[in-house]
Amino acid sequence: MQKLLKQTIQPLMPVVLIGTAAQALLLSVFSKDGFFAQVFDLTKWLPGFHTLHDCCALLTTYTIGLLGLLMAVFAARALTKNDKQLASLVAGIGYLILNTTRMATFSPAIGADGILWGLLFGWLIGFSFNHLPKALVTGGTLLITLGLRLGWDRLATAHVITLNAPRGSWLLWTNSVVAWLGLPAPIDAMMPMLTGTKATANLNAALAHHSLPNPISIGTLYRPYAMFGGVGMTLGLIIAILLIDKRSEKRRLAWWSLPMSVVNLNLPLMLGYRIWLNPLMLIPYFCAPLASCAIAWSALKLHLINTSVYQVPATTPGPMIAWLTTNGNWPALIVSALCLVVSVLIYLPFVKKVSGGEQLG
Amino acid sequence: MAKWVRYLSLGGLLLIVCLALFIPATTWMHHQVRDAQVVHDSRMAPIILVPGSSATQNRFNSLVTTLNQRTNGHSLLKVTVKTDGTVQTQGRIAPRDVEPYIVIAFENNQDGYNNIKKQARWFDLAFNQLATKYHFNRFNAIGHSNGGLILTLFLAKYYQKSAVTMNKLMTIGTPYNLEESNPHNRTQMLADLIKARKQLPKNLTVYSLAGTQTYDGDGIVPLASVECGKYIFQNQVKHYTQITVSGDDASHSDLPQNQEIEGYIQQYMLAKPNQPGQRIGAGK
Repeated sequence: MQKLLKQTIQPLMPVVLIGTAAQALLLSVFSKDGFFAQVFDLTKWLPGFHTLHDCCALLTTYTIGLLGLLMAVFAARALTKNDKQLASLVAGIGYLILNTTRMATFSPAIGADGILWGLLFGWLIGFSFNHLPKALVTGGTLLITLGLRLGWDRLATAHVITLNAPRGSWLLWTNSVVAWLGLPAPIDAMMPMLTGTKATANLNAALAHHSLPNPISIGTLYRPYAMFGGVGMTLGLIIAILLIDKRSEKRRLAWWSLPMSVVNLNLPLMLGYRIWLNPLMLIPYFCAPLASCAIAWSALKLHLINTSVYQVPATTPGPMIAWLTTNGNWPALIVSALCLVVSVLIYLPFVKKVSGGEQLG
Repeated sequence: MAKWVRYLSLGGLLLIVCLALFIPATTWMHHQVRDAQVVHDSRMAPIILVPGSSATQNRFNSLVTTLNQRTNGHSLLKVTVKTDGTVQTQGRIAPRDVEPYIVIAFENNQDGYNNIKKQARWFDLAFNQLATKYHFNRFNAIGHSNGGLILTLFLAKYYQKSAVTMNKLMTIGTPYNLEESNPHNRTQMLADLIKARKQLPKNLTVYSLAGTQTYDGDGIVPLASVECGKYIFQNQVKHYTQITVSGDDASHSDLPQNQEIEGYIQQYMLAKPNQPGQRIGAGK
């Protein structure tokens, strides 16, 4: 299973790396609300800012914007024993048909959000090709996807479902698991930060120099202290890899993903270091953010640090978020550093295990 | 050796990159917060004056007239709060005056802790009406005698619920321990205020002014009672300063007309203290 997953992901890695790099540039440098654009006021003086923005946006769309589709194609390709060509074609067309809808919410997603569905769909097609006649699978897939699509549309237009943004402390526990599955996480690293009702109340109170109404909430814990490098504190993983992983291929991956992880994008690491759908890596991926939250919570409870109130861009480098959102609170910076160290320590044994146990080149 | 050099240069590079990111980001954040503060703060930040017991809304007329002669001058609004919470006003705030004087007096201006508690509630009612009507969210306050107690009670009890910021508070001859001259005999009021001190804003600057005619008081309020303010404010607000004034006009009821105290108000409470210029409106 893990081997098959590896075969599926491997050919996609160049696309993932280029795409995420373009996305990182787009979101942190060539967007008005990007971290570097804001701090260095790039919109004012950088020539060709908007052209570069458009270039990066296109590059992102044509790479990881198609990752779900590519996943379906390559998953079918990896699993099918004979006639890989036809299998990938059928998987691609079938997945595209499923995505032709006016209601994006009800499609399996063609971009990076759809990697799980793409994988499952591709494997299903590959599995069918291995066990059933080719013509039957080809025809059947096209008919079934078409039927599903039409039925879905009818259902979707008949019942418009409104989905509220999920909130509550259960998110802390589920966020890592959902992201580990390759689904869009409820608290995504690229969502705007400290903009909810509780955070707004805090901001108003801070500007009026009153005491804060909500000093401890998910918004003041999870984003500022437990999301360095993206969901799962993966900046800690990169440091752990660079410290002890001896495999040159993985070290290269870590160096490549470092700049993207600085702005909290970790897709190359998720796929390249095999965190995605790997039960072993789920353990630190789940524990590191919780440990960080626990540290930050204790520090807040003991009034050692100030609460994060001021808004910063989502692409702000993880370890700087607490420092900036408290407008320069030294203890908050120290606690951030502590969270990073602890997450490195949590990742270390697992990096050691996968780097020693795996012999494949 | 080569490895050692490599690690060192790598570390140095990392440090430079971090600092190159850290310093501009911090500067940027400070700007952001300051901009947010400017957007949040109202242009107008009035000075609210609260007279002591038995005094009316005209208590500060002479003070405001003197201040207006010495500075660029500000308009004066006088408010009396009725016992049912409604307000009666006299005078007006001049257009574009960003630092008007607002006197808040009470129809029932009797002494006594129970009455002071009622006055603090009336103050809160009137204050909220004024803040809504004149659109301000920050102010400085001056309280004479019991007026200082009313303001302190307001801070302890009602302030956190309002969305307004008090930056500076000056109390003049305010008896934090009522008429009690022994600081070890704490009155109920002082005990209550000390208990509620955690509610006081941490950003507040407090000046407590005392007058002395004799060695132990201004004739009405014992110096020791004024000094009890330290049990409430010290180590809770940002700054707490106590000033004792003696000489001419240092008796309790003369304090608002005392030259020294007028000088302190001008220096500490007004935004642009020494700027003579056009008079926007004279206090009458």
